[in-house]
Amino acid sequence: MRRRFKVPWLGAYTLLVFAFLFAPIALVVLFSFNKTASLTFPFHGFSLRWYRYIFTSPTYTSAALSSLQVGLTTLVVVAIVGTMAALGITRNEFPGRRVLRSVLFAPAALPGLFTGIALLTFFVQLHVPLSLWTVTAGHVIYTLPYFFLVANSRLNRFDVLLEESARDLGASPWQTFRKVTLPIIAPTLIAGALVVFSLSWDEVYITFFTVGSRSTLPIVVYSTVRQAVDPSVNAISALLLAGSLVFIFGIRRFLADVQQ
Amino acid sequence: MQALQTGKTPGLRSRPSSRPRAAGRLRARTRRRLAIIALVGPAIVLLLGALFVPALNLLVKSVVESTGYGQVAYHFTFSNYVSAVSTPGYLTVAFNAFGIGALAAVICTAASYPIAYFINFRLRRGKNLALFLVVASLFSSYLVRLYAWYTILGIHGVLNDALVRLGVVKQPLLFLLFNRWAVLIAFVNIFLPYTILMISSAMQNIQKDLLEAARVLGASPLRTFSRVLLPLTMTGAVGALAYTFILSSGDYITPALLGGLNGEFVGQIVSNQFIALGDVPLGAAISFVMLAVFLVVYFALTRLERFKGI
Amino acid sequence: MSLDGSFPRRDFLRRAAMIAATAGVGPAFVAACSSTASKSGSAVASGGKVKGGTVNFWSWQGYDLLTEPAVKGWRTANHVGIHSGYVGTHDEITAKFTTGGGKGVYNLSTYEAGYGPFYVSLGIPSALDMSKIPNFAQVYPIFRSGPIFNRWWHFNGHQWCCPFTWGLQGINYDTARIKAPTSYTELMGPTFKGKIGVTDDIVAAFVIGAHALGIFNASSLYRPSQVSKIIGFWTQLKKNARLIIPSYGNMADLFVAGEIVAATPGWSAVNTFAAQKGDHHVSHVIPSEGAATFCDGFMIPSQAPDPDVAYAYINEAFSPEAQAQEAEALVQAVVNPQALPLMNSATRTLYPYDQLDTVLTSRAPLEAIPVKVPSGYASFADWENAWTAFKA
Repeated sequence: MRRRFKVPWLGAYTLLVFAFLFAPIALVVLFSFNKTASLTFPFHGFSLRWYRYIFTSPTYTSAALSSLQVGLTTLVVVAIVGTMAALGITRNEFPGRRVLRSVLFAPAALPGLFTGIALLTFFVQLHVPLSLWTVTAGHVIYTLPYFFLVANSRLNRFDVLLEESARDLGASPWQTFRKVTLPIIAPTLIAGALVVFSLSWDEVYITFFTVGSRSTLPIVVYSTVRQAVDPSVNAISALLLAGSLVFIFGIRRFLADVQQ
Repeated sequence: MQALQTGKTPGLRSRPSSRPRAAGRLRARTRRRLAIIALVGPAIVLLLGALFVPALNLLVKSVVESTGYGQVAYHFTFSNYVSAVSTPGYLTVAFNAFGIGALAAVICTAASYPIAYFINFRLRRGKNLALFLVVASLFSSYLVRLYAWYTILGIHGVLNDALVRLGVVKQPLLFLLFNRWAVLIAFVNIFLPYTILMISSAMQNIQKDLLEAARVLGASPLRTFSRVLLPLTMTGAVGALAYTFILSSGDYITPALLGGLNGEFVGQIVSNQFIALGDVPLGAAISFVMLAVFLVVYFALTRLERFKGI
Repeated sequence: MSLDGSFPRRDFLRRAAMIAATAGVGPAFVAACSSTASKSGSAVASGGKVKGGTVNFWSWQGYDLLTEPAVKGWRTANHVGIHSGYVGTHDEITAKFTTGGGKGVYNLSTYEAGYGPFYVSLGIPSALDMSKIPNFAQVYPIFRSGPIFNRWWHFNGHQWCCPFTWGLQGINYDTARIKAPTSYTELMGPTFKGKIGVTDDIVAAFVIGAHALGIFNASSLYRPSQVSKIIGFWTQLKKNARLIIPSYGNMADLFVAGEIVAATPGWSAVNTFAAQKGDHHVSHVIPSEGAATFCDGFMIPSQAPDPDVAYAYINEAFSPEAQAQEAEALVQAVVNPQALPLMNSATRTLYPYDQLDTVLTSRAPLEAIPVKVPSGYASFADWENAWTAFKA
């Protein structure tokens, strides 16, 4: 006889935790519509002024574009490099394989502060001017372990027989990868890429030390938070959340179609 | 002759083809070696150039003398490390940071298990949606979310408002905000999505039948957890613990905004050395000491993983 | 009074009381009026023309003068763009132009008077060609000649900085909940337990503390025993503190949320920040023990790209119209007497312009950091360690 224990408790607990996770977010969205510049109660009434402000403020629009540039570049570089490394490591035995895997996980053990300082000191030493490229370098190093973790675990679970069947049928390694492996691991890789983008988009510690004259959004938010913060930062956050939700649901549709 | 094929190799088991055996195997080995280098090469180059070399550079800077703002004299000295571990204020701050970080790690990991279990083994249609919602929560800016805690935990915040109205307390509770607990709550809120994803990912490797089998054989929920679920997801748990501990101990913005009188974390000290004092050697030394603590914890946790018998 | 900063305590108290009276009244008015546009003159101030260019600014938010109509109009008319990066602490300016890779990137920044000699020793500011900033000749004499000028802004044969704004750091408080505090010791009393905030501003804290204890030194040279006394002063205040406030902007949010009723070191701009968030009850007062003065000036960093546009920008900032608008937007004092008639009365009465010399010389607690510290005295690193231990 099957005992179904904990079911109502588990469900309720999960709901509670989701409420806890989204409560601050709900407040962020609420205050993005505040009439005054306050981020805390009392709430003074609804207004779209902050949304209007961020679309017309050159500080925010250029920062958003910079963040987008860094995020997308990071995403592409990490996805390609990370997938390749995961393929190389999971498919082959070679001396130092375990070490290399640990080394690829290593940057996750480093606080952003350390990476930022190391990179800054290094760039200054080499007289490399700080720019969005130096920021991207930091973000790539920071996010690579997370993507690698995801890709590695997915490829470990991947049924190699599928690839071998394709090879037997005469497909080249690249064709095998493109037509067999990639479509199957794509959902996981996309999730990994999303995490990479979100990590890069929100990153402030490494960016703080490696940024040049073009600020990213978190840097603008950080400096605003320390001077006179206003709900324009809420508006940005709300827009990003809405955008990501739209994107995620769009992707789900697309993936569902692709997998037929 | 078939052209050299670089690129992805087949599985660990190489399939013999119709080519002459000995020479074919040699070429295959070389091809495979090249393929491996081509695949993992970029990652190695990135790690070297953007991580190891800069870290080495910083290490060098940590054992030289600071002679003024942003200036060093290349004389070897350990004095920076001595200062890092012996300055009285630093130790208090370090205990503060690592203590709260450890608590946050344990709470996040423990709290994630029931949720990951529920999502992976109880939800059928809602599973992907739930996971995607967790990922979506990561897209809201972490700095902006910090301010939301004023509204939730503050004197005139939602919680106090409710408690006073309901008559549970007469005066608003002052201890909800601006202390270690507020920082802890904020950390849990920030890192829970990550730990849920990590443990959920580890659980995806487990067959549902395994848990059913354990139950059928008469194991209590607790035994199923400790003997089956936990060991199999140990990698995920270790990752979640390490990740949360390191990132929360290294954070200094959250504690500064929410920590009240206990808001000084190690990262702030490092940042001050670099920015306020321009003392790169001391800042580097303190960050390496901090790093040493993280690495010790990281390796201790991976030991734990092996001990559980994976 | 003597010019080296010493003064009889009675004199000081009298003047401090006058300053308290004038500075305390204004902010509430200004907070209410801050949203109204300044009634000053034309959109384009003086006729300084320049052929386009970009200003790359690195300093405090507000000092880039994005919203002041006179400067804004000048930018539009001359096709000058501006990119701004903001700092949260003064040290970020130091860091950016030394170890931070900012050399050759920014062409406009500022420094607070007391950091002058230190910055010049690090090669941060470039020597200014004052012929390109003719409007500076309009400022009060004390800002362009005399001992203070020669100490912080013009030395080693060059001028490094043009002071354009100054202010006083005392106590911010919530007028709706308490009366104006008359002294720091009042905040140490039992009625304030858990209700005040201590701002994490090390330089202001040290100068205020030294001042309140009567051991102020214009070069910020203190013996370790004196540093202990200063820390002791702040530890007393910390006993009543709800939190250490990480920044002045955050202070405004705390007032608005009702988490604190008073905070020190203070900044008058916090009143405006709070008013923008709908709370018009935040005010600023100089208590009886006195306060610290900060005075910020424009500098052009060395190796600046396109310094000419920076020169033109600085020149615009000193025109009477621009200065009047700066006074209102920043809620700080300005340096051009011709701006006074262009200000509305609330802004004009906010700062003791008629006692300027007295304030800056006899009070003279211009915030400075210790540099070239002789042995036996505390260095800035010692300050940092003491302050970190205090916050821990």
